[in-house]
Amino acid sequence: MSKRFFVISTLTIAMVLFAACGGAAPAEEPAQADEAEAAESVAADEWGNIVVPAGEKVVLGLSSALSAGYAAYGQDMLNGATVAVQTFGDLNGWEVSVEGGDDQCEGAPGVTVAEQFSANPYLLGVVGPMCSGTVVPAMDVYGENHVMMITPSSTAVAVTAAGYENIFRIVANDDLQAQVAVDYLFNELGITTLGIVHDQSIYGEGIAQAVQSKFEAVGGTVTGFEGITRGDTDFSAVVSTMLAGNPAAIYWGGMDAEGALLVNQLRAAGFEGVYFGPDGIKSIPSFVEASGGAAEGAYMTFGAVGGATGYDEFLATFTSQFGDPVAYGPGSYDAAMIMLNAAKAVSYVDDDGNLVIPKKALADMVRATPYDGITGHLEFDENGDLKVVSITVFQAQGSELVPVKVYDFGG
Amino acid sequence: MQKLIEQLINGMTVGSFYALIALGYTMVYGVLSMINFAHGDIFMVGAYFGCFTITQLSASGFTQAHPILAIIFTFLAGALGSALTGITVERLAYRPLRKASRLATLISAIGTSIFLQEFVRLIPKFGSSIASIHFGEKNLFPESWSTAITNVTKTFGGAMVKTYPGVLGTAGIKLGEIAISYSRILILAIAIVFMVLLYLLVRLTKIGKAMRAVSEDKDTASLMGINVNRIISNTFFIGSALAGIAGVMMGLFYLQIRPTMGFTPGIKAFTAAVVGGIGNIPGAMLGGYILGLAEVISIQFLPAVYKDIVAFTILIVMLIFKPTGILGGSGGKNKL
Repeated sequence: MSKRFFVISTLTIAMVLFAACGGAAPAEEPAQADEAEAAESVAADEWGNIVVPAGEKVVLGLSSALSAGYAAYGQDMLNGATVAVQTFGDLNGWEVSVEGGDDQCEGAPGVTVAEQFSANPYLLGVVGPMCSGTVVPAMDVYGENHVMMITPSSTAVAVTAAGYENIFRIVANDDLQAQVAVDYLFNELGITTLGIVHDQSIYGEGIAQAVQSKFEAVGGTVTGFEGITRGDTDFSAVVSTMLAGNPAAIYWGGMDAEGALLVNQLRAAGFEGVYFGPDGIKSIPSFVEASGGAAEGAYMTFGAVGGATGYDEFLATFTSQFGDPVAYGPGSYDAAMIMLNAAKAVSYVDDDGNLVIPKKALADMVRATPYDGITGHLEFDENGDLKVVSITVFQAQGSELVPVKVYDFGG
Repeated sequence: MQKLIEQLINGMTVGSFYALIALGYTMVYGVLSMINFAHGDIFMVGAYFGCFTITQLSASGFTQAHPILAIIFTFLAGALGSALTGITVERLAYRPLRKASRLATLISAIGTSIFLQEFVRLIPKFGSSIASIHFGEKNLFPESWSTAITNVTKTFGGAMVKTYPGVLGTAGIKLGEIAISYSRILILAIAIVFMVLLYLLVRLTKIGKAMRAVSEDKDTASLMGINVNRIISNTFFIGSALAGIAGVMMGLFYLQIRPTMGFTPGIKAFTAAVVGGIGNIPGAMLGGYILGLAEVISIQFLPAVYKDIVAFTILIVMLIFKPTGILGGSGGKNKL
């Protein structure tokens, strides 16, 4: 018995080690895959081609949280992409369909969704993932498979820092969001004592730390820095700790579901100061309404405001099917349109009647082509970030989110 | 000092939730010797029934006119919904396995838990599929029925978070420097009232006596003329109703409900039941409050993120050193 146990455990450990080693060398795999594809493809593309036979549909993938806590945001993004595909029409004669993948705003499901999408031979590209915490692990899968990925909503700095040439972002990053928050709190509202709560995610904790360091750099005092767990509903412990430091304002680094509960419990405990949050709480249904009225007067920063070229037509089509956009519906629409426009430009029909989309050419076209979208003028730099961004500060007034100040960066 | 009192009140509130749900676990364990892992999801179903009720009442203006009555109806709906789900689950998932091994009922409970979560999550799709059943061109249901089915299922459940209307508000009373919201007082009051009622039921009524008899020795109780199946159904009914009440309370207090909300409170309530002595009703109540207070007090010394770790460390320590719990007897059968 013990000898058999010894043998089995050794084999298991050996298998685990091999699997770990296999994942540690991504740079070698694409080269081998490319050689195989180059031998088959009609025209050689460094990353290979997407080949869609006649009669098949081109798939536009969308990775976001389609269930549970943040589904308001995720469903909104799916709706935006759907409207984009409806408005765009066909791609050189091939029908485009939107396929939603539920990544639950988490890393592990996001990687699964990424692998499923990457294995789809008719996939044009992926809009999303919605959450920064999903992008950071999933982008390795998308990067290795050279899948075009444009996220309208992942704001963590890490998203474009890995150097993948197929990954783009059409929203301002958290470093800028934190800068705007600190400037507005310190200079506009005259706040000098700030308590910070975050949700321990790559996104929430990241922006909370950025706010902390920037606020202290301008001379403010951070009275407390606490984390809560996503999915939790009782924050009484954190509320008590925060209020003990007597801050004039509290910054929430995280999403709408917990943000609404936190502000509700803060107000119930007697907190009367300012409540400030990032783009994760810019939502009327899942933040303002879900807070039971406690969100009145809360501020939030948001980078992908619609209202530019073609916004009215988009809004008409969107609201007739899905009601009002929540937050990233317009951004998702723009991301999808950028992808579809670039695909239209670089794709061609080969001698067998297949639609061929060269992957590297697609990425280069996306990077090189400025696009005037409904969220503004979108032009990429070499990292995949926007050259020119703007961030708007909103305030919850009644059941509306009213823009109060716009900050412009770049350009 | 003031902060300590605030924290104690917070702990009692959270403890009330755990205590109410733990009662269901402990009663079912008492009569059936099984851990009903689907109990957390029965709690969730109650929250959804309550949400549906109060949303409809608020939409028709009833809540504004008669707030107290609306809240009572919401609790009734939640309790009834949970109770009916509980006895259905017992009938379909546990009774056929009564002669089977303990593992079979455990696995069945876990399966039921997943089923309930997914059912609530997918019920709008289910509803619209049923509403559009057709034979060729002709629909099975008339137009008004179809829309009604689709709308009801869409309002009832779904993948997204549902919000309770904020009927309780954030108002409260102030004792000196300490702010206590009315909702906390309500939760504490309702929890204590129902726990006292349950204790009286089990100690003083005939049906309570029958439950205690079944929990001591099922076969002998049936020899004494007790309809064991009926008593077990009653136990599930009462335990699930209490969980439903806790569910509605959680919805009214925390405002948000989602299909997966039953998981963590379910496990924490299970911990509470074990700490107090599984199969023991006063034990479940004690365990719930101990767990609530322990969580809240530990946050004074540890970062807030360790809250769950504290709860489960208590479980592990309890299982290692005194698995029968605080009020449980030493070895032998627990008395309900």
